[in-house]
Amino acid sequence: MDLEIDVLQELGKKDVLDAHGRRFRMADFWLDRRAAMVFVRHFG
Amino acid sequence: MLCRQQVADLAVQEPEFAARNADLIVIGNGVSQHLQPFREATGYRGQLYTDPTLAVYKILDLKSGLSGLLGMKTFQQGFKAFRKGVSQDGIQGSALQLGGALVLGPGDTIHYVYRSREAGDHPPVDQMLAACEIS
Repeated sequence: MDLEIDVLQELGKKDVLDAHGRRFRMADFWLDRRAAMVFVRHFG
Repeated sequence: MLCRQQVADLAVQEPEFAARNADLIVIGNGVSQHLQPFREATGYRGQLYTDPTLAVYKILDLKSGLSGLLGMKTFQQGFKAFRKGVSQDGIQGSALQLGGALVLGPGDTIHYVYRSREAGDHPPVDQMLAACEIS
């Protein structure tokens, strides 16, 4: 796959926000589940 | 307009991800206040988050810049969305940022990586679903 494991681990340390501004750690999305993540260009 | 159409299409496919025991997660890059209007515009009820700093996009090396907005796919997908009646109320997020997709886990296992080459170049849902079936 075109993604190095160290890049994935760095990604996992980042947080994203929900609609209420609450932080969610990226790595938790795929810790014990399969996660299909889509990154959109913008919310327009 | 293209992003709304992309996520409206994903909203329809969300049960297919669930059937494969995979969580469908959509991440954008505007401020938190943009999420609810986007959800209402697309009908998407699943997990929706934002990365306002674009840190995640940068780590993944997702393309950014004017060159990604001028391709044929941009116009084709824009016309397709227009015909479906999808409209756009301005840009909420980075206009120059392109997207992509990942299928990961459980754990640090990488099943699928997709980086958009231009606006309108969306990760094929059938490929993502196939990646969700990899054991």
